Amino acid sequence: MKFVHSINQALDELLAEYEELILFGEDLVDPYGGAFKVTKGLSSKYPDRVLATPISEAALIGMAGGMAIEGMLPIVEIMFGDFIMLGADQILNHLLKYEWMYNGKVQVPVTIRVTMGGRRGYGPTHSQSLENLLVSFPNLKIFSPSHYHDPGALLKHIVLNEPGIKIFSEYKLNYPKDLLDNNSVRDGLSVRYSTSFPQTVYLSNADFEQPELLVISYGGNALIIEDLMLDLLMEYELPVQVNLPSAIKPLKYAELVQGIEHCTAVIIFEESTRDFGWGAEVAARILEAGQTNNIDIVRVGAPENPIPSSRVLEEQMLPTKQSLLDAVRSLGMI
Amino acid sequence: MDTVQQLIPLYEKMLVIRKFEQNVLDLFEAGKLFGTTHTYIGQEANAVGVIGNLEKSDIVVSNHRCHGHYLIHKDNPYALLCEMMGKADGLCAGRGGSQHVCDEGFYSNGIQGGILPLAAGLAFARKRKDPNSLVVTFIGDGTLGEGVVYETLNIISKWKLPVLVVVENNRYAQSTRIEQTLSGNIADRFKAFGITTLELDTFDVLRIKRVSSELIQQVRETGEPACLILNTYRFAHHSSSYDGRDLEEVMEWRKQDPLLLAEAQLPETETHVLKQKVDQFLAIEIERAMKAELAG
Repeated sequence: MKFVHSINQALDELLAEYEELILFGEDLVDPYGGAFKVTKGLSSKYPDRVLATPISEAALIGMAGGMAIEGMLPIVEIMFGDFIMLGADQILNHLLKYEWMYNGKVQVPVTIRVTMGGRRGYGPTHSQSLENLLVSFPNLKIFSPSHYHDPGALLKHIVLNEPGIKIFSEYKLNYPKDLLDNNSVRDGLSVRYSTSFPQTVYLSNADFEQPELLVISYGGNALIIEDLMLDLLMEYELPVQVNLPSAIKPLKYAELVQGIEHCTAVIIFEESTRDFGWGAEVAARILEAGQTNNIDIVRVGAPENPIPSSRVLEEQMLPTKQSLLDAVRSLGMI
Repeated sequence: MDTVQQLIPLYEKMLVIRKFEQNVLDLFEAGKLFGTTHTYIGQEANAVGVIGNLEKSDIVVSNHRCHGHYLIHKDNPYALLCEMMGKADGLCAGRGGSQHVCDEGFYSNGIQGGILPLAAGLAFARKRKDPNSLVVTFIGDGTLGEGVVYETLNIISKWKLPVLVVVENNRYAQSTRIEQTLSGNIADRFKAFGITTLELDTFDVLRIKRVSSELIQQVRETGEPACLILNTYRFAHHSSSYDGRDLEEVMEWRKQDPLLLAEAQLPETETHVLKQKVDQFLAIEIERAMKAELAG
């Protein structure tokens, strides 16, 4: 099962089971089926509830709020996550406020699916990972599956079981990837899962024996990290554990740092800009929990710079496996 | 029904808004209200005329200047006052204050134009459940500078959503005259999206009621949007006490006071009795609100 098909299938099942569910966004009807083909086939099966819209992100997101208040279950697709900024006022000053501001008189379950991430040469306005910005919106929930998660199951969980306003962040390079689990994971790696949704994925290159390094990351970053883990295993015999929460916010702290007690260092890895971001929050949580005795913490992320279109320049700008290796080296672990 | 009989209940409702708002200004000056407040004085005929045609099950989506709309659609001055005073009995228990209120089928928010997508979404969902449903949303002339207004007009027209957009053009965005900021004209904006648009230059509540009734009926029957532009004027200042408008200009407009217009058509004995009735009613509500428990 490919990442894209898992989400497509989950949307199909949600639409089949829940009459009140509506899915809308730009270009998502057949035969095109969305810029990334996530909604392919769905408008043909559910023509009244899978709708292509004008290019009007603010109106779409705001309308989803009204639909939700009246009992519908809206899912909005934002084609490129960068465009969510056009609807940011509706998220921050409207949807996120209604339930509390109106003293619980309304419920506003809205899911906003966005694509994030670069490494495809789309350039400055179609490549960003804006999770680090969205985490600062009070009460906004943000989820992002890696290819070790079951993205469809996660999407169903957040649509049906998580109240409030939810961002579901889909990393563009993940779409064509085969989903991996314990049976299909690459040789040398092993995977475990936390029990409750939204699940955290734990990866190890040493069968979870006494990791020295803990890497905390999420979503599409796993594509880079899994390569690094194999290098660290084969070239340096460094036991590494990687924790990949699917809930970027709110954090499930115990799952986030599971295994930290064995480690001498933590690397927090994100494709978003590093400063003032998600990684800073994770580092602060570890610090506040008093778990920094004899543990070094390093953040790896993008610099504060637009993302170039040229793949050569983009490779120099975004954090890579080499950035991670450099971080491990700076820690004196290799 | 003759004009007098039709006018009496409308006049009484306008009185409720006018006197409520005058009390709000006094309470604000006395420091009894939190934050700021935008009064509806001068525009009463709009809320009474338009909302007077609605069913209780219809939805009204309003803006920062929402008191008049609320008092006519939901008729609970006590809960609205409590909200402005931060009392537990407030519509949102003091969380929203003057601009952010919610009561079944009534919503307001304080970001210009941001309520239009809400209105469209509510209308979208309602239409699927009930073909006769209707959402009325009030915006102002200043709101026409916001891009999301045009995104939403396009969608409510294209998707045939039962939304009546009422533009209350009171000619000022806070301190800025409409001539300083608005290109073209208001009606053409709506007509460009294929939306049926009517425009009235009047403070006559009966006329507003009659015209909006027809428009509302049309929205119900077709399930498609319409727009009603009401050229009006606010007699009080925008929010806090600053009012940079020329006093002569304000006095000239005050000659068209919708309450005075109505009073000219009603027996003085009748208006006198109604004023006393409304005064007494509001005095009780205000006293209750003053005594109510603070939230939190």
